[in-house]
Amino acid sequence: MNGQKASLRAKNNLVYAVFVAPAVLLCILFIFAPLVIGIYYSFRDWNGISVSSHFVGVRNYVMAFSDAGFIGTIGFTLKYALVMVLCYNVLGLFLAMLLNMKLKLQGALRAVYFMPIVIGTATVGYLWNFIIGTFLPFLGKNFGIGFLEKNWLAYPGTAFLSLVIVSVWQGVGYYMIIYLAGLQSVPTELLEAAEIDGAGMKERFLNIIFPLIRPSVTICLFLSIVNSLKAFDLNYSLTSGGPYGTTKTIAYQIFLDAFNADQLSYASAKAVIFSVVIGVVAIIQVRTTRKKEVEL
Amino acid sequence: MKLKRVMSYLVMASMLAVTAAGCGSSGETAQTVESTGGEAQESAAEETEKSKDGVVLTVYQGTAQYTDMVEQLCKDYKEETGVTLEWEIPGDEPYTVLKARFASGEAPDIIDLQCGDYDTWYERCVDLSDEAWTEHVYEASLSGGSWEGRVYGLPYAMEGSGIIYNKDLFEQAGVEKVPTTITELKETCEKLQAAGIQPFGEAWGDWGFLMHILGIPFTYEGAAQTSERLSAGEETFSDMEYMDNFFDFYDLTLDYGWGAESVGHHYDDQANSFAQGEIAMIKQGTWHTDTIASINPDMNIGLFAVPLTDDESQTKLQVSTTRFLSISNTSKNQEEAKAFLQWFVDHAQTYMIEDMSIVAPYDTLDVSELGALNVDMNNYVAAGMSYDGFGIEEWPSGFNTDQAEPLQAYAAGAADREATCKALQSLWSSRAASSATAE
Amino acid sequence: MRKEGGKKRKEYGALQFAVEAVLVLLACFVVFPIVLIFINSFKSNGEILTDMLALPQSFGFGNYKEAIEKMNFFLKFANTVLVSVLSVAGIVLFGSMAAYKITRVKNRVSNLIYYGILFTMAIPFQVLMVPVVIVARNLHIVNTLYGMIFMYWGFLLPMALFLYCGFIKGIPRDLEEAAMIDGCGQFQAFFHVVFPILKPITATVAIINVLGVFNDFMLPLIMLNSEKKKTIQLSMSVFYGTYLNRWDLIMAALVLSILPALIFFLAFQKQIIKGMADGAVKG
Repeated sequence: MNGQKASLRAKNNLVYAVFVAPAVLLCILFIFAPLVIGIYYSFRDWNGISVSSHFVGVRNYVMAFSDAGFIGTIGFTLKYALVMVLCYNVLGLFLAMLLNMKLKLQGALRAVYFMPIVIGTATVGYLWNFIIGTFLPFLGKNFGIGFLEKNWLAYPGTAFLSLVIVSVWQGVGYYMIIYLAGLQSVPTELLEAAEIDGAGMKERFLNIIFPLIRPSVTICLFLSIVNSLKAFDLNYSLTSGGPYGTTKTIAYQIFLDAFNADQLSYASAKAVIFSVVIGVVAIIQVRTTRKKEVEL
Repeated sequence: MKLKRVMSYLVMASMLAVTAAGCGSSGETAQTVESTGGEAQESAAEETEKSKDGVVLTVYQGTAQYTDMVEQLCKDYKEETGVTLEWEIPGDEPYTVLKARFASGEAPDIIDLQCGDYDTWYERCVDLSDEAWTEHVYEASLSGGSWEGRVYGLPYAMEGSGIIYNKDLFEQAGVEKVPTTITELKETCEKLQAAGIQPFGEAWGDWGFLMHILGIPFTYEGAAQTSERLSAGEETFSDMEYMDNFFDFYDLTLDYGWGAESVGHHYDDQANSFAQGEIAMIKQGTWHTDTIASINPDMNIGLFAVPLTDDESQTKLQVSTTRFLSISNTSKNQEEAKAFLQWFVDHAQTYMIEDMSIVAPYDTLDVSELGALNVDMNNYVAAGMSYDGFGIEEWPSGFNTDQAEPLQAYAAGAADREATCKALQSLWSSRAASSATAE
Repeated sequence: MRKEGGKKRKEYGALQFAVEAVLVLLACFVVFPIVLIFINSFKSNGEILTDMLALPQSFGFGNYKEAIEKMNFFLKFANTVLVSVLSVAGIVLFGSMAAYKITRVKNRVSNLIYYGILFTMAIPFQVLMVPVVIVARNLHIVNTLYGMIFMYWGFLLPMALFLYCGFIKGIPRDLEEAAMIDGCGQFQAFFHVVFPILKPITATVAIINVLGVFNDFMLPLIMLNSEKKKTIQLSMSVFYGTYLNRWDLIMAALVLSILPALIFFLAFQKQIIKGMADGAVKG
């Protein structure tokens, strides 16, 4: 009996390994292994070019924590992430609620809002560079619209605004679709019954809709937080971190340090710090929101 | 519990693979060369079918400027020698790609570098000191591609950095001679403006052009010594002799140009505006010849030196050898690559001068028909009115990109001169410190 | 039970009309940039610079022809499609298999893998750029399309796993248990019973990743050096850098780089949006 049980367990374990191993190995090979190499270099003084490097202990980490530029990019990244998480979720949910109404062009509108996602971010950068840098000033000059005449990417405030607008343009459809799916699972009967019982719009939203779309909220929050904190693409292709470094995110700063400034080891140290921070935030976020979800 | 063991084996096995990967790459020179050599051979073998002689040279060029010339050159070289040139032009991010290529062991045979790169990149280059062409390259240009007395790069483009102006617009505004002092420059701006012409239009969104102008006060003061004193802490940006003059000039380009918005302009839109006659002057250099010709071939233009002071004798043109070809020391085809460099020098008249209108710094060339900008540059050089280099050659590695942020902040009015100097100083000091410890 | 005589919510009234009007206006702004470059892609360089709003003087495909030739577009397209399809196939297969066991077998290893993988999603790719080519070099897969496919498997699996895990949690065990009582092996039970149930989330995973890989720029930038192996996005960036002053060519190339994904989207629009929705809610 016992032997049979043991062999069954062994077989189960083997099956488990076969199912899980490819994914785990691939992640180890292409994510954890590079991460380990990155950590290794973060304790050295490699510039990314030399054939040799030396161990420097925690110097790079100490430098990172006392680097005003790095602290500045952390501040900017947090600000950007906060704005983006709000925009994506509030606008996404709002659009989803509007589109959940019985509208004639519902399908077409959904498709249009979702469409920018299919365009690659590098292309989005070139496209909007043309719109903001060349087309809007052209409009401004020819139609005498003052606030368009100036180049938005040249001033910190408007450059930030441009970044937010383009990010929303590109990404909000994604969150909208996830919220829309959640909303469609809310039974209409429930809402009607509540309305008859005299519940106002606000109460219906807070007490019925919101708890029921919690799973959508969880995933949207997770994706928007992680993606905004990791933001790189548009800072690279649209603003190049400018004007004068005011739109540099941490990921972009790390990229610049590693490749433009020949400080690969220093960049690795920053990257390690940064990954740990986002990883912790992500795990905490998922654990807390998961617990609050209503089981249907 | 067995499952745990299975998993731990799995994890261990992959960690082993990881450490193996980590060690192999952590940088023992011999090991690196050996393993990359093998791969280079493989990839060369893969290409063999295409080429008669079986030799494929990969060339990596960091600038897209030469695209048209390159096509013809590759064709001709193949016909003449049977060697295939695979000329890669990456568009953005040349250094990112180059670093990735070396890390991946698939480095190109020939790489394109700039002056100031050799303090770090020499470790990846073949020593070219004994090549025949070194005889024909101007001494000053050769030094830009050298490190500790050895030649690592073949200089191939000599460029002058100054103010390009539209002669027709100057005439229209009644400006008779090019300004040689900062006062005259200011008067020129006023005349242009009075005639309804926008004097300047600067692409201060690109760090490279800010680097060029920040180099000017260095050339005035003596570039190498100034850099040394800054690194040693004996001098700061605030006490640099011509820093105030620099800011006066910088102010002119802003006040008589796009103002704070200059930091939102880039190479391409500036070139378009200038070539269409919307602005009279741009701070660029001889490298602009082809770009302008491609938009407006009949444009009547010239080049003059940036005046920082009212002393005419100081208004000399910054002339530098800016680009170099090097052979990577992991290349399996070093002899063929050397042969190509020699061929390139021998044919520079055709490809550089006739096709590209760019001066290559070889004493074998006839540069009399090179387009207005180069002719003006040559006049400055012939008259002894040129500075050797852009003033940026001895900057600590990384400062060339760093400097843009404080200067852009100044242009936007977010910082005054004193604050800008302080910001520049702190960036310089941290770069100087980190390159000192690296050695 | 629906109450009779309740307010008729489904009616199309003034409110709905107003909302619709606003949404349509907003939609115009959303598509405008794409329409703008599309129109300008038919103009000559001079026309673009003088008036960006005007319609082209004549509709010709000259710009496209030149851009296609200069980019070698069809080869790049084939490369990109190959990489996207095979990457997604692997991600779906390995992702669903692993997620299934991780969710069903509750133990410390599963937990470790789940949170380990969640953590990797936090690592920005820029950080791994140099180390990953070092790994690739030791595996001898630099400058190969298949090597890049392996790497996408690695990079994109965490997200797929995360989505699959969320979905699998919500499906009951009854079916697979019944199948196994009927004598199915664990693999058969997975591929014949569970995998089909995963269709909605598989659609989501496939869509996200097809687009992600198709539009990726950084990995091809550092991994591919042969011209003939390059992908569309990478060629586009080279193109943009090379023909700085040729807005006509750049516009055509921009449209070309958007077009395949756009056609894919428009053709399968309903399925894509439905797939995204079905998969995501449970995630």
